[in-house]
Amino acid sequence: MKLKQQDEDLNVKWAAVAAKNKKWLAQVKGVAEPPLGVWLGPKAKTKKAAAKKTKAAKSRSK
Amino acid sequence: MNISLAQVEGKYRRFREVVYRGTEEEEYAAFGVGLHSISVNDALDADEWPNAKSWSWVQQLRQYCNDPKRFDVGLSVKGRLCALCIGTPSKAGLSLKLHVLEGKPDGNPLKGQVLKIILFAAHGYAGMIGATEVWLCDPINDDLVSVYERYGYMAVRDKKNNVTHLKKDT
Repeated sequence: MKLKQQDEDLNVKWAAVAAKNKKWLAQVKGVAEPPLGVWLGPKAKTKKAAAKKTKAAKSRSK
Repeated sequence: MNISLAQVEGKYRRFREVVYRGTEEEEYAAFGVGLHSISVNDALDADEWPNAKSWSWVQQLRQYCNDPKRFDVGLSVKGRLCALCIGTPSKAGLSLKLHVLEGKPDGNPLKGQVLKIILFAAHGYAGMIGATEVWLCDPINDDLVSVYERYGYMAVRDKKNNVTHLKKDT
């Protein structure tokens, strides 16, 4: 019974959240999507980290 | 009252399930899209997609899968994986940070819709957990920054004028 009530509460919460998001999506309907592929990722961090590692390795080998 | 890790995991899993089912039914039923948690098989599948990324989805999944509050979503159409995204809420739970996001580059039936579906789900999850902002961390390039800005996100820059992330209120 408690779980059922919780589920109902979640669904009510979702309905409110979804209604708000729908409004926003309607505003950006015409915005084109970028070409498919990687959009977010740790690439920049990885490159930086790799550069740091190389630098550290070079200084160690001296 | 102490809450066990299993209870926290269960609570947030239910949030994710509501978001997955809600997103499928609300806006995107016509596309026949299925939303689900990311499995190891999904990660292995995505690592085979042709692109120039320098990280692996298996590695990313391993990094975030132990966070019970994570937001991970895979988009599939007829069992074919089309996109993946992983995010985590901040420690205080005030923002949901999306860390990795990728759409399958070739033969994607959701072409043109992937970003909207994922952002709809992410904002839904943020709203469910009480976060007030969604952050897009580590955009791959500046072209993408301008796209995200058109979606209403605001770029946050460091002292060197590099974009660290973009944010938008839920």
